[in-house]
Amino acid sequence: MVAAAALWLTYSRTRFGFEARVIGDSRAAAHYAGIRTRRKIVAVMALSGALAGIGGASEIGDFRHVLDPRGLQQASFGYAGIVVAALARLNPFAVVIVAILLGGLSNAGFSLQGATFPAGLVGTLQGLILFCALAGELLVHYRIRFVRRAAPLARAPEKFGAAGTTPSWW
Amino acid sequence: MIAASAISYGTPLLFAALGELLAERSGVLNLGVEGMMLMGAVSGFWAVQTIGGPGWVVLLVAVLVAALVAAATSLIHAVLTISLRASQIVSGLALTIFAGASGLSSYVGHVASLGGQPARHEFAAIDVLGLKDLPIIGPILLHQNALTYLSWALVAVALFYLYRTRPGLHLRAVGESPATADAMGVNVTVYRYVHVMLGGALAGIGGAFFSLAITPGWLDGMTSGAGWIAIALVIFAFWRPELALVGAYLFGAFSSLGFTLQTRQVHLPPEVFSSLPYLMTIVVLVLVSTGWARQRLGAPASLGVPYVREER
Repeated sequence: MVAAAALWLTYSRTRFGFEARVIGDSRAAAHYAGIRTRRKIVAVMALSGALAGIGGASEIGDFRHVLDPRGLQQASFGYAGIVVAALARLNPFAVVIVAILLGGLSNAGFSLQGATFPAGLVGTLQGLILFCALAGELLVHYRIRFVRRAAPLARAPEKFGAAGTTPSWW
Repeated sequence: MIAASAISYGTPLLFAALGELLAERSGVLNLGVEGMMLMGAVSGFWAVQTIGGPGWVVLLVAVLVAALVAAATSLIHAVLTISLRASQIVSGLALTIFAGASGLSSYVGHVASLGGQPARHEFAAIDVLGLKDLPIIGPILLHQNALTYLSWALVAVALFYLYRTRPGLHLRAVGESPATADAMGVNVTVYRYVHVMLGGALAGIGGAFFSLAITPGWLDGMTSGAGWIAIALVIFAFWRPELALVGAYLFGAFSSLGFTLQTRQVHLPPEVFSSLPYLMTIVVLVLVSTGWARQRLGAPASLGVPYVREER
């Protein structure tokens, strides 16, 4: 959580964060504004690698106390991390919330697992929830407008202006 | 010996990579390969255990079932990314979580209690023309199972399809510039749906190769990361079927070398070999990331970008 706050501060209040966001939105513009795009991208990558490393270390150090690469891989926190970041729409605070929700979901699955609760249902449910969340993403970009004369429910074609800080293909 | 086992480990990679290649050529990145392969593995094995009849019919039906189930799985990805324009990366990862080692495939396997059952039928190596004892080429080329021969035929079919037919040309156009293809009268949505599902079907056959040929039986997460390697392989092969064939057997050799060296008491951690495919993909990416190579060999230009007509 400290990391999330620190990340938010970096991204919203420092020059480093501002430049990183500009690069994300438009690389050409960043280059034009005199930002060293290549160096910056490498730096941001290193930062993200460092954060991921802390994640792995905390799993080993605080939770499992066993160095077990195979188990860590099977838990696939790495891939789940990408999902979390996307569902949180790249907002550090939302990441905290989404991560806790998703983590709670898998943890609940582990405690439920038993004779009457077959393995594999956890992932299935988690996947279904993710699918629904993803399908709902469409509604962030579109507004549902009620039209009285024609069809009762129609998706208005006009988009909201700026979709926020997310790159266009998210 | 090593070459022959490289082929048996490489074949599922080849199937999955060919499928992913077709999907990516249409501009849809599907990171759910691992999940689809596991669905194919579990459903193929289930079909073999439940369907009665002569061996080859059962195996044929099993492969079809695996392909259909995996194609249905990929349909989720197709609806989410093509129709609902969700992020292809997130949707693909969600698909792997949904169908993967701790997801639906594991659920189906446990409910049908497939684990530990001996396979009733399996794909055995065919002795082509009775020439399996020829030196070197005998065991490599003439003593493989039917699915391996099918995969070689598929490479040829994919090559012909991509570069010599009109739908193949349209497919490449959809992947490079969907707006242009749309203007040409190509139905971008249909092309993407069809190829994502074709990709799913091939990944399913690749998964079934694990449960019907390599280690007949079913285990939780039995593809052990082959789906991820297949995705790396597509990049390694520059989105070309013929290079996918080479790469699949190269990567297959790495995984079989890991096992062989262990049995021969060579003390090299097997992780070295399992990381080699990714390492080589990165090296190749770095080598071709500059200049003309990027233009000629690079990814389909619209890979990962949903096509929205109104934003053209």
